[in-house]
This record gives sequence, C-alpha cells and structure tokens, in this order.
Amino acid sequence: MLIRLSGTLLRFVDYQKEFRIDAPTLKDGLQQLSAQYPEVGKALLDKGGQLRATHRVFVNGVIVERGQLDRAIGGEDVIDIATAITGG
Amino acid sequence: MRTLTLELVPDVSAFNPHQLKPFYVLASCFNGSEVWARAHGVPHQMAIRNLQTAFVIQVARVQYLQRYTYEQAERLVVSVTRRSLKDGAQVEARTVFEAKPGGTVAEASLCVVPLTLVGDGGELAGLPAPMSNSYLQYFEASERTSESYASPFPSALQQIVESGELVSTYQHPFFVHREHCEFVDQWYFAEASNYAAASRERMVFEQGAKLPYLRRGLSLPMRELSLLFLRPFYFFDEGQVQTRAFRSHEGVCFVHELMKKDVPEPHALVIERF
Repeated sequence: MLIRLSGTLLRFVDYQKEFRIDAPTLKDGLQQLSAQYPEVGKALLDKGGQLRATHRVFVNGVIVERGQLDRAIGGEDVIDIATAITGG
Repeated sequence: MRTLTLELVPDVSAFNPHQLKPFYVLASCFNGSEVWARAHGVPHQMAIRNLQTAFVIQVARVQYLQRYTYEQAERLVVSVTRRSLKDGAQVEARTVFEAKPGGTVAEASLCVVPLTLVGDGGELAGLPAPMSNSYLQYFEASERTSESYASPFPSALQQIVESGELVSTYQHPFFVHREHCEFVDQWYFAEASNYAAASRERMVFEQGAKLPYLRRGLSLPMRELSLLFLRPFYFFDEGQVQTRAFRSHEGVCFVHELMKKDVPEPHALVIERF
C-alpha cells in the first residue's frame, strides 16, 4: 500500500509525504509506519491501537470508519491520512 | 461590550493602488482579536496550554467603506470587539478601521469556531466544541449571546450565481509553502485572499484583451470580500483556484473555489466584489 500523510503529521516523519508499505491490513500498515516513526503512531493511534477521532483515513479516496482498520488492503491501494481540524 | 483600540501606521506595503490590501485588513483584524484576548480574555497560548481550547476561522469578511490610499495615510485607528456567539459555539471578532485624519475606511469581521484539543502528540488536533465555562467566564454578559454570526454564506454565493451573468472562468494552481502557514504548518487563513487575487489577476492578464470587462477587477477598488473556510490546507499541499467572473448590476464579482489536488469538494470559497 501507499500511505500518504499531510498537514501537521509531516513533522513526525521528517517531512516525507509518501510511504510504500507491504502489509495485509490497514492496521498492520499503520503499525509498521508507527514502528518506523513512533511519534506519528502516538498522534494517529490511541493506547488501544484505534484511530484517534481527530484523524481521517481514506482508502482510494473513500473514508474509512474508525472500527474498520482490520480491512484487507492491496498493494496498489492508496491510503491518505489527514488531521481532521487543527488549531490556528 | 469592551472595545480595544490599536493605532497602526500603515506603510507602503499595506496598500495596493486603490486601498488597504485585503490581506493587511484580515491580518490586522486577526491580530486585533488576539490583542483583545490578551487584554480582556485568555491569551491563545494559555487557552491551548491550560484550557485545551483552540480556534479555527470559519468565515471572514471585509467591507471597504471609503477611498483610502497610501497618499492619505497618516494613522489608522483600529477598534476591536470580541464576542461569544451561539452560546459559546462561535466567537466573533469585529474591527473598524478609522483613518486619522479621515473617517471609517473599512470594517472586517471573523467568525471563529472553538475546538477542544485532543491528544498530546503536539499536532494540536481538535474537534469542534463550544467553549468551556472556564473560557466563557472571561467574556462580560454583554459579550455573550445566543445569536449566530451574520454570515454572508450561502446567500451571497447563491445571489451571484443565480442573478449574475457568467463572463468567464479560469483555473490557477498554487502550492502551500511554509511562509503561507502559521505555527502548526496549517495555512494562515488570510493567505486565501492572496491565492484568490493571484487567480483573478492572472485571469485578467490572459483574458483581459478579449474580455475588457474583466479588467474592472484591477482598475476598480474592491468593495467587499467574503471568505468561507471548509477544510484546512497544510504545508506541502498542492491546490488550484477555480475562478468564475460574473457581471451583475452592482459590478463585477469573482467567485473563487480553492480546491486541493485530488479532492472534489472545495476547501474554501472566496467572493470578491468590485
């Protein structure tokens, strides 16, 4: 899968926007990314490993509900992650 | 209601040939709101740190009331008020720009939505929520109301599209650089006026010979500017301004939709009336 980050999350990954990750599910993909960049993991996932309410995940442009992180993801799928709203 | 007064000395960079630049007016309004908050309410840093409260701009509006150019500029007195609206679900900052000597040259207002900050990762992620009592207590009774902000949206847009004559369209790309952002790498709202203006100016540059009516967007002073913010842009985002020019009985209007690459819905709307 291709994970694309934007916004305030970029600071946690040294301003890289795209990550090619080989994982069977969305949750596995996010955990791999978090293992590589722990700070982005803390921002995205709560202590129970669930997506925080302040972030939105899209698979090929379609929003993913918070409880659907176990869904299977293909190698060509594109995952976009954005912060819902930030201050400023 | 408490009014805070600031005195500015606008230099050449604050003006275009016709008037105070919209960016300068918007930024001064935003700054005035912050100065008011520090004097009478809660400084923004303290709101974030102690009250887990932040704010995002939802609507901004500028009205130009009389001609005011650099040649006339000596002092500018800015009067700022700040109110809690909609039972704490909105904050309105309102500023009046008065030339000295002279009179009121412009008014600007912001509708700001409070957020409750969530998470501790430093990303300042938040969700909309009315202000807590610990924040609201800093407003006097006369500064708290159940009224909503008098937004020009969606009626202004509907009126232009339904009663105006579409003259032309244009698309202009932009890229969000860090210099366009505030401290969390989210775009600074006032930059929306610059992205819209860039598209309008480029439209006139490319189409003005064929459509002279468009040139009024450069040769006349702006009368009014309205901005609606729907989704944020961030550092590194690629966007496009989709501009439509309308002829109406009041003059030329430019309606700009600020789109993010690969996202079908606009992130912001900007209406310029000349």
